[in-house]
Amino acid sequence: MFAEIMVLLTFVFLVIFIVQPLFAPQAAFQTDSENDKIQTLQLRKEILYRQIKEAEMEHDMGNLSDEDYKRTRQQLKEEASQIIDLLEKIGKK
Amino acid sequence: MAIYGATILNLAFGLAILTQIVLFIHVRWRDDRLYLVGQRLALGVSTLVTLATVTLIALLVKGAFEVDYVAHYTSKGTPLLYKFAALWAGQSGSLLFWLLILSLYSAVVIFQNQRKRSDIMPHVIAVLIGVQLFFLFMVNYSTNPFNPVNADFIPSDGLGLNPLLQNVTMAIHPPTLYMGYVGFTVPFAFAIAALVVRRVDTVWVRGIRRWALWAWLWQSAGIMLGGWWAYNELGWGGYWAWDPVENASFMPWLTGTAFVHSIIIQEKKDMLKMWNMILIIITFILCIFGTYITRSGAVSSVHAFTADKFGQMFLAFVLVIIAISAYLVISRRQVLKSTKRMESLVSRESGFLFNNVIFVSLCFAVLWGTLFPLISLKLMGREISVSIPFYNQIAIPVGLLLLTLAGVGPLLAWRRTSKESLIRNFSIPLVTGLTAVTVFYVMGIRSIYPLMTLGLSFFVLGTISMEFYRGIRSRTRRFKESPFTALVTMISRNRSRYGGYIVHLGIVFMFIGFVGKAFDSEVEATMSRGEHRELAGYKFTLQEVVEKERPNHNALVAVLTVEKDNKIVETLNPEFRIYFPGTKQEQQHSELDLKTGIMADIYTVFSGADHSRGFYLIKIMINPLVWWVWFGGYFLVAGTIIAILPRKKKV
Repeated sequence: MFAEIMVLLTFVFLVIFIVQPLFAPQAAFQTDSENDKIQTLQLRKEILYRQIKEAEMEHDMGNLSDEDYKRTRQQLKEEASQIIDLLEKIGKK
Repeated sequence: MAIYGATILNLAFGLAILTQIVLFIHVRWRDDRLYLVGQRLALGVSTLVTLATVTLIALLVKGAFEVDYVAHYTSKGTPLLYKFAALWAGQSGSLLFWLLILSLYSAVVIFQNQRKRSDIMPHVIAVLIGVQLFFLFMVNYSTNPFNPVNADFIPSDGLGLNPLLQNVTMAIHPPTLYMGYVGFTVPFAFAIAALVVRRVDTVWVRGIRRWALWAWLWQSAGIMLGGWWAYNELGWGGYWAWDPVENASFMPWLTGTAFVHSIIIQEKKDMLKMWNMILIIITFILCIFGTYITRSGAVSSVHAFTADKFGQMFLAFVLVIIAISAYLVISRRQVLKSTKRMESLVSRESGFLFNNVIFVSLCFAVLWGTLFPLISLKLMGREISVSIPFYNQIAIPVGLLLLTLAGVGPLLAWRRTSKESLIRNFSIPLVTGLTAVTVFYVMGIRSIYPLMTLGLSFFVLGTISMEFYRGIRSRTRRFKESPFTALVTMISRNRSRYGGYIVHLGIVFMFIGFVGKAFDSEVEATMSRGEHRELAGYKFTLQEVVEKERPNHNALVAVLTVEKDNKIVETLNPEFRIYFPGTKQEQQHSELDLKTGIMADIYTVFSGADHSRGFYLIKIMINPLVWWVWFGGYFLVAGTIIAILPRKKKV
């Protein structure tokens, strides 16, 4: 009898918990492909900024020669500015 | 209580099916309320699986011998800790435990992503629930842990846990390994979801980096603990035997290691998208395959504590995963194409790629060796096992290549490394490595592999030390910090980089430990009281043998003194035990005793006894440098934890 009551209680609790969102108004999530695109670009921008800092650190440490550092920094900055342009274009829409 | 457990497991199966249906409708109708219901259904599955597991633990602790699983793996005399450990001692319990970990991980994934809902999440939950569905099916309809005993009566006592498993390490080793095996399901779920919605950019990789490291951490710790258990319990003096079950845990570790390296390239360079997808899919498949090998008894192993014929279902599941994954990867090959190319062979990217190729090649060599008995049985009609020399022949040179890369990688710049940087970065590590080779050669080490391993270990040590030194020097100059503050700040601001170096340091220590294997020595002899044997400058004397009666076994305890230069340096007490004496389950077991040291372990095993005549079979081994293997393990774990810790958010 104890087991049956426990099963019943578990079941009732779960059903209430699960169906509750159906009685709420339509949930509003910030989700569309535009947002996904912005999220991806911002992440890439963040990663590139971090890489610029890392290159600076490597140069300071003496791991990167002046030549390697200048080239790497230039390439990373170019990539970052391309992404910023894209983000601005999306923002203007 | 068993009925409660069985019923809620059934209910969990039903809820899992319902979750899939609701999420499918949500994807079609785009009604976000249905997504929330899907989330809650998945959480419901987690809750029910947790309740079922708690019920089984309660039955094990209570000693409910009317349940077949309880009667098989516990007895009245089983200590409480091992009653808990009995949860993963048998097949159905361990599958339920697998399921528990996965359902808890799924709950964490749902909570982590509760607020941010991208297109990917419903598919992630669907994959996680899909995997749970398979395990729920198994524990409900193939091997149910709540099944009653197959007899008309309730046994008064259970069979008890295998004595080999009555060891604290063994109580921890399987759950640790499972945390890793199951952990790779999360990155796999994100990968499949990313393929489904065709969003294979940097975002999914960012989301799973910590999960991949988490799984890798547990997998590594599990393998280490397994080795520790084998060394401290099995009595053959080694920690790795290329046993199929060991291989089963090692293979996903190899591809997982490749994966945690190659996602860095995708994150930083937006390259290797296809490769990363394939790697995580292979890793997950190998995890399921590992569970299959361990639990099916398809390949004979010292770990084959269970050998039921349920392997075909696992195999079918693996084939389904391969088919779905292959379809998704092939159909999405256009979006998986990298837009960027490697700029130079002398770059960190190519170092990473090279390391990946080696890891995967080694994995396939191990897979070939593991499956060879099965393949030979099918093709030639007889089972041919592949032995340790086969694996060593491949693993030693490949391992040395990987060790080299661990030293070379950090010295290379991203994109391209100039000649000037190469000379500047390689000089110190190279000199360190070559000096080490010369010193060890002069000390008398002539074998090529040990000499190479030591040389390369010091080369990598040189690289890592130089990285730390240069980092500290840069901060002390730039920010006027003390060396200690500079070290702490440097690590905390670059956790993944310096965590990685600490892991590499651990690997170097392990390799130093592996070198010791080349210098093992042993003697096995029948000894009587007062007799002695000599080995590697030590004198071992059997002083006496004491009889002891304990709750679930009787033991003969040897008192073995160890002398060096006529001084007793240690007294060791290996035991010869008889579990469940005088019953049908009577089992002999040798409990070894050892003295651990930085330079060598003194390892003794009481292998057999003719007590009435006073003859005892004693095995003595001197195992050099084993301590370094475990020491390296601590670094590996500490480094990974540092790499996993989240970066402080800028305010």
